[in-house]
Amino acid sequence: MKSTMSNSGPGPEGRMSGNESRSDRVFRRNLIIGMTLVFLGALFLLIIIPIGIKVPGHLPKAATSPAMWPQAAPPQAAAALLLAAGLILTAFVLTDRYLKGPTPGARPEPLIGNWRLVAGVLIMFVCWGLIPILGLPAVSALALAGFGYLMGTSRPWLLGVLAVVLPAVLYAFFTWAANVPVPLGLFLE
Amino acid sequence: MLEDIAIGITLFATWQNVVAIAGGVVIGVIIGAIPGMGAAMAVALALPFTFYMDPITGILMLTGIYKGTYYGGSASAILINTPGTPAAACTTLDGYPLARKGEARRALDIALYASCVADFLSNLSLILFAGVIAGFALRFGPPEFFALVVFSMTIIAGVSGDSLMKGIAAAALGFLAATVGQDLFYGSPRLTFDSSNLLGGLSFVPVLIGLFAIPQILDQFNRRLLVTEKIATTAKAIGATFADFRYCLPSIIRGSVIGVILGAIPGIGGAPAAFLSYSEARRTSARRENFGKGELEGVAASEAGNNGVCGATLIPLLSLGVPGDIVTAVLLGAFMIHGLQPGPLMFHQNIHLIYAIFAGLLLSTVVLYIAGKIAIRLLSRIVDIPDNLIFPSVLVLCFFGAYVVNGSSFDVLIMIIAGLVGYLMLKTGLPTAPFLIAFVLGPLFEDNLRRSLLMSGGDLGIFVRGPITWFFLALTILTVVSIGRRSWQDFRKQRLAAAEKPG
Repeated sequence: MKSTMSNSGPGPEGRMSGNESRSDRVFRRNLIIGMTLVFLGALFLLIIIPIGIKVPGHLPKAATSPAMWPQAAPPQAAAALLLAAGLILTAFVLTDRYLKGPTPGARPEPLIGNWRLVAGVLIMFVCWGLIPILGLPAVSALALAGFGYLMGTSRPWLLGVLAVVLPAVLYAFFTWAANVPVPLGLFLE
Repeated sequence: MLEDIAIGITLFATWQNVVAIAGGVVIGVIIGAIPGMGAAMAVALALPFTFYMDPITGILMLTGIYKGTYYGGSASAILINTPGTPAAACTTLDGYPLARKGEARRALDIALYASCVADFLSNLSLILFAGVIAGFALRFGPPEFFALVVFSMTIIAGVSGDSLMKGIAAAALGFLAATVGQDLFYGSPRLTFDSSNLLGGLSFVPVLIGLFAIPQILDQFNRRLLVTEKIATTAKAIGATFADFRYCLPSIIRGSVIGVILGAIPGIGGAPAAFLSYSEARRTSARRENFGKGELEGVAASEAGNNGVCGATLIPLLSLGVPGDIVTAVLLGAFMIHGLQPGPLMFHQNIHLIYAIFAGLLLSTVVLYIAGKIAIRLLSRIVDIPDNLIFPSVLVLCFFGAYVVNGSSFDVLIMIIAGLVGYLMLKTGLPTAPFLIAFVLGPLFEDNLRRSLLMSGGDLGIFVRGPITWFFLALTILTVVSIGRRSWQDFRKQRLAAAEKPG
């Protein structure tokens, strides 16, 4: 049972100086993942499930309760499983580190690569918020243009054409062929 | 009997029927390739157009659409990592990695061959063994379903990648996501936090799209050479060879049989069949470690399981009058609109019509092959489009796909959030496949567990009540023991290696 991440392993870079810090970062990352899973499991088990799952009174049999504990599995067992997996993962990360020491050449993947990623996520949320106002085709066109720009298109004119044509084609298909209403927002008139 | 068959074939052999089934398959392949447009929606949309057709023509057109959508779903799963249905989600596990390696054409080809073989075997089972299979399927009660789902879940270990614990954690998260919504028995809210949008639970399609497509799009921002980098195209023109097909054939046949058996059981659907077929292929494959990284056999097994269900779902419909899923429920409606009542009586009163439908179903496999071959030529060109145009376009498809399932912009939000969760999982090495399996099978697991306990009054003995439950539970135990042994061996090897390390 391996507990280190798949991107760890010896390589040419492993012999270079500064590997210790990279390996440390991988160790830290895996430790954080393990501890986050433990935290999430405990959060679900102790707070979210007791608050979020309403158990009707006077149930004929405990086995049929929406909370299903302790007779059967979900959802508490899922949370317990999460907690257990997090604990074991953390234990493995720690024992691996203790027994093997730093992994040479290990390099953690960056979670947030650059500002473009943050901008991309923001565009998605803004577009979702604009659906009732501008409608789905216009919002999709904006998302397409925004993402195309962020991804560094070399042909802006083609991107512009695509931003108009693709949402229009999808709108036409869903509205007239599939008979699924698509919101138009302000363009309804 | 031969006379009945001859009359049935004569009834079928009209150009209208041939055009209807060909048109149905082509429409199905196109619609299936659009994320969010599943078989149920496609068949339901086409239903009104069949009102004025001859019963055989109308029903054949609908079954053609049904079969076409099942194959079409594999195209978007392989090419853009966007499964339109839970069943197609299994195909993404190896299909998309193959596409990224420049082997999209090969993956699409093997998906087509697997689909056609499975479809043919499924149709043959319907024609030859409908009575026997329907009888067997009727012996499946909640405890048997539960045992089957438990066994299907052992695949989680197989798709967990480097860390089994991360796989189990991802599956637990999938289970928790599946519990959102109204309680199956009491209707009381679970993890909805007074949001009416969550009462219906998290829709499958937005979660699937978010989990698979959005992380790939976002990950593009982490790549340096955005302008020049694109899917390797050197091998795009190379399709699957006969040797590939022969290598995958055992998995295809096994997957088809799994699809036929599970398809005949009302209420199971294509997803468990695809996952079980994939799991069995991985368990028996010589290239086991390659699964999830772009293994052709994985695509073949998944598609065989998925498509093996198609013909088999008609078994309970035609022989018992019981619709196994939403699509066959719509087909039942189509029969009734034309004044026909599927069930045992139909085999006595309308046997010619039954044989005509059987003839049409056999032809549909040939049409599926031809339509699929043409579609592959057109679709495989998608890999030629530069990443900075294809990924924004996929995003638009995701927006539309997530929206049209329920006509709700809340589903678009679910897709975005699932996308961010998927991206975090991608970056932290938590595998998405176990999450997906638990999310898809979770409701089946819980529903059948609780039904069984309700039946037995809380007595766990119900889970060992007959040979079917014994069989699946024994398989589960064997698989778990085998996984445990393999994990322990890996662990010991690591420890020994660490102990031998100098210093």
